[in-house]
Amino acid sequence: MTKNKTAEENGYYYDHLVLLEETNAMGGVVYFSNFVKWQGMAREYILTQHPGFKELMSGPAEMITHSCSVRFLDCLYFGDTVRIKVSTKDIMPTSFRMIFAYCNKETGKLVAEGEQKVTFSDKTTGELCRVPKEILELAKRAEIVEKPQKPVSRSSR
Amino acid sequence: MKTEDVYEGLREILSTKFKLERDTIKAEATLHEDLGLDSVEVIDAICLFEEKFDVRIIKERSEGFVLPETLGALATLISERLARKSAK
Repeated sequence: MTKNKTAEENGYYYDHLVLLEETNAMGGVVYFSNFVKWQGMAREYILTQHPGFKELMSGPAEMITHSCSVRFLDCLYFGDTVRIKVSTKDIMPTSFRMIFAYCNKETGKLVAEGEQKVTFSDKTTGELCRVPKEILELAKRAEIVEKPQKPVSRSSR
Repeated sequence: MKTEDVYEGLREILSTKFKLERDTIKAEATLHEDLGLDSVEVIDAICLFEEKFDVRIIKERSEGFVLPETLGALATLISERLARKSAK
């Protein structure tokens, strides 16, 4: 399994060699749930980019996955290397979103897109708390600077 | 700070950070039911309001404090807190 070595401006890159166990019986394509699993792996890789990540893991806050999604555009097969670019947006006091772009590293083709929203809670009280500053530093390094968007109306939930 | 100015500050945060249409952000609107913010977004909004006006809102929730339901009531609360702070 190849591990990314570089955190580039506005994104982290995580490379993963597709293993046989990640493919299915239907022509050997990668089974869909692995894309979600890879989001977790890429996310954890990013955490290790902070020099104090081991202390961070025993800190007072824990990360909670609020939501995640994947949109599939093409297939991957055993032996392919998927390059996952992780960027961030909508960085708020207690949450932020991660954007995942999955590419076939050899062809450069985009094979899937994904998104996750994470928030943080205090391990003791269980209440939502601010993003730990170490993670905020990591998130800001990969933040996408968006052009102003047209507001949308939301239906009540 | 006048309540109207606070209210406009809240509207600005909601429209830019949460990409809501300004027309929908009214004084009688509630963050969750009317504006569609989920529980995490409500907390984020409150934190952003606190940062903008340098007042504490969430801390007092643990002391039996109930968050005002409407945006107008929230603006009034923040305005009162600011006035109290200035008086000290």
